[in-house]
Amino acid sequence: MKNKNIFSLWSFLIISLFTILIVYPLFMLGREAFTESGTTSFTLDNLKRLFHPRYLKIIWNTFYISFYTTLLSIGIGIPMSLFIWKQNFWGKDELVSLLIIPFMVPSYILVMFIMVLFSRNGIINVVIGRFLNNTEYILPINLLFDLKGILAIFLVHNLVLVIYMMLSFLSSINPSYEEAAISLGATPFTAIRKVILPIMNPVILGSGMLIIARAMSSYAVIFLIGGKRYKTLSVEVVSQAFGYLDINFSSALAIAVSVMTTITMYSYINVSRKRKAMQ
Amino acid sequence: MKILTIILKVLVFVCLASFIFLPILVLGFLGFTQDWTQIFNPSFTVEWFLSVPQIFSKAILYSLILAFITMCLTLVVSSLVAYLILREKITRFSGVIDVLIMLPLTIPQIVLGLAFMITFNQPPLRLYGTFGILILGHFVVTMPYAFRNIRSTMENFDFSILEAAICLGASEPIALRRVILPAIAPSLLASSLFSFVFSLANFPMTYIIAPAGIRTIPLVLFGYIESEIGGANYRLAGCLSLYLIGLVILLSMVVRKLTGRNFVE
Repeated sequence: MKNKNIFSLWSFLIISLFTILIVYPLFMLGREAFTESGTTSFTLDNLKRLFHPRYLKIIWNTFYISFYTTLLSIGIGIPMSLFIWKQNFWGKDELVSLLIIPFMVPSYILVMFIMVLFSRNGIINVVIGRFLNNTEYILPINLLFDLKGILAIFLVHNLVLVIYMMLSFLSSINPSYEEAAISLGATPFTAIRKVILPIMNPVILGSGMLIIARAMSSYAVIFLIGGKRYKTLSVEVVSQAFGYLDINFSSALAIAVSVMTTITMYSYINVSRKRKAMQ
Repeated sequence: MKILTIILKVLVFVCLASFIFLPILVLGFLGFTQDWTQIFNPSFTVEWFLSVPQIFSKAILYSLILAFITMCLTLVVSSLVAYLILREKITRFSGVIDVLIMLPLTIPQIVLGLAFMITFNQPPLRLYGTFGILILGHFVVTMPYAFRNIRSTMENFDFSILEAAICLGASEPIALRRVILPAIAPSLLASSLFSFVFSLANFPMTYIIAPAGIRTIPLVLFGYIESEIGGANYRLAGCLSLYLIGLVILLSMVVRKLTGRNFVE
């Protein structure tokens, strides 16, 4: 009996630790969102302000960037991982295990890489200029301050994510499915399209959800490369809080973005749980 | 058809290889040359690279201390929670605890940082502007990863030796300390290196809650990139980022060697 008491004390301690550190701050954030700035009175104005065209544009940008990132990473990642899975080439295993390197390079450092390589007076433009014997003319390759640069950096991280997720799933597929399809007269290409791809659907959906959530919550890359043109919700949260010092409205924006990421992350968790149950 | 496959293989190989090594090569070129815009006749130097520890000594020190404290905290708390859950000391609330610990994964770190800033700037817990809030913030954002890894390390551990020790007359605390701890400590330490790496490279949370005087390596780098945008002198930042990347990649390779797990999930 004594033993039991001690351990329910443990669960009380652990739950209260994480309530103070996670739930309570989020509750305070929510309270700020419903408070008029400068006073303590209740208001819905901050939430109404979210539907102002200026902020609708920002919400749209958030969706736009995460949608394109997902589309690109999955569109490139699936054929690539299928190719890596089917074909054997020199140094394949080493390369796949070294893919962790670009994934572990923090994204703000990749911004510096983009600047050095792809900005207006970056290495690529200088090299092209030298080959065209035309050093005065600045060539048009420029990923800085542009949506392309943001997508390029997101692509680096998320492509690794997609390839790892796909490969770990593909290695668990029973090879007899494909062999059966081929022995029944399907070409290898048809076998992949009609047999393997449908089995992969849950993984594709899951990785898509994960990428959407990651892109929505990203801050540093969009702030550094997007400049003023491409603001997303995460960037606007910071600029409202530290630029305009409007904590209340910034909290409302923060709640909007967390609702979006929480929904996608929970559907990701559900999808992967279902997949594990199926296997 | 055969030629096409070979061409494709070469193409994929080149793509993957450049994908992996290009960022580091470019940053290395940036850090080790006098002027990176002179690509065709570069003059190499190690002057910048060697001066980094001196110039950024404070930032490096802060980052390492913070990462070390975060690692110790997450190691202790997550092994305690994982042990209590796995040995069914906590049965009724284990689901609640799991959701609570995993919650920071679903919320952007920027938002969590803002919530921390609002909450710990008020009387009951006035921590804003101290090193303490940084530790708490890093603890919260690295906890999901640390907990998941330490829990799966413990799930793979055979606890029947604990029962054997208890059968032989040891009390549970003594059995834990003398039998389980020596056996499980190396793999627990390896899993907790995850939190060290995450804390070391963490930017968004640190950016919001860091006190004015305390600037970790990611904050210093961000400041460089932000202020020098369009300029030409990122040599120091390039060298500093090489240090950070080197440490992060080295540690992640060590973790993978020791635990067989990736950072990618």
